Amino acid sequence: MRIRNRPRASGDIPDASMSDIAFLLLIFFLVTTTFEVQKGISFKLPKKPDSETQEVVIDETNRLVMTIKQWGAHEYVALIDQAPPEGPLQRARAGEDVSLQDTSLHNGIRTLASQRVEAMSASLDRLLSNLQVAKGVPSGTYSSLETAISAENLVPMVRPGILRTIMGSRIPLEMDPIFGEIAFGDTLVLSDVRQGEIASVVRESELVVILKFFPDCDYEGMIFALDLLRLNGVSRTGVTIQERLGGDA
Amino acid sequence: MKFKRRMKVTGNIFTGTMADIVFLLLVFFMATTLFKEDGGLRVRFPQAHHEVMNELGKQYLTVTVWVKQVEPGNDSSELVARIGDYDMPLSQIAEQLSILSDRFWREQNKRLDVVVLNIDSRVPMQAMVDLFGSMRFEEIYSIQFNAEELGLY
Repeated sequence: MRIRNRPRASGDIPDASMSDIAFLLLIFFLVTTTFEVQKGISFKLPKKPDSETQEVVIDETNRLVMTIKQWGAHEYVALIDQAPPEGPLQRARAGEDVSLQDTSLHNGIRTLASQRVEAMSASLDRLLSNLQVAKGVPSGTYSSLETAISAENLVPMVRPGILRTIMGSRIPLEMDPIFGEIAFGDTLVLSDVRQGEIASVVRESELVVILKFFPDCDYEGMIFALDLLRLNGVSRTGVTIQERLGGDA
Repeated sequence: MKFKRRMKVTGNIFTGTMADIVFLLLVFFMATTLFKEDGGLRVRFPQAHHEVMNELGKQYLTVTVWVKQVEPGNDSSELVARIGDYDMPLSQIAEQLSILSDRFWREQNKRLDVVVLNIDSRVPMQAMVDLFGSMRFEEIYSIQFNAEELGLY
């Protein structure tokens, strides 16, 4: 007579599917993970006026003043109050508003900006100053940028700006013994082999654009205008409110 | 005479440690995943080209401010501002930033580098320019306006 073996209860937990579960979870977290990266437009407010502050008057050849108002949802128009003489943009009269999306406005701003690229020495001085701040050393520690680069063992490089694509061959270029060929809107970067980027500076224009917003204009209009200006090579911007003429009822 | 066996090359890839690697990766992603939104208000960001925007470096000490208008278009509607989990009127933001800046300096010996502004696109410019004025008064000058990349929605 054949005796059947009774099924025995085993004490093992089956773990063959463990790696499958782990893979599934891994894929889930791979897909859902977002590393928080905040991107935005940088802006510097002017220093607080005090007894030592000297009033800076911007030369009218470098000054463009525009009043921005809102026409509807996502629709903003500019009225040119002041513009450099004999430039592509001229002072407009009331009612001659132009949309912020108008390409002639973009081209005019870009032309004005590219005709006023700051001197190479000014860009290099700002870079040296940024480097000294980043390194936490007092200003004047290094006599020149060359000295700082060799002392800190830094690698100079040029990061091309968007204006190279927009302006093509019409972009103002300059040669520099440290960085080589530099175009308007490029970023000059000093990097450390171990720490990465240490200091940078954008080759910018001396054109100053002052934006006067109507008080009820949306904040979106300011970002729209700043975006337009940065894209066309203007980094020196002032923001204020258009003073109402007459009193409110 | 004794013959030595030749070493055979096998075609198998050793996968014994695969599960360990997978578990390590799993733990990493479980630890870094964020489901919760950064304690801010639900704001609608304005849009800008990615070429003009830059990322904030990790080395910067930042404070994030959120501002939203509760009822857009209504003059009597209130502006809500938030730092961390605390709501406050917009007029108090600059003062609070100054207090935080002093605290960073006292406790960590670090200066507040950048104030990140997450502002709803419908906030009126009058309120924004007033905020800039009060921030200047408190000697807080560096700002980043957060925006969505153009074309994302």
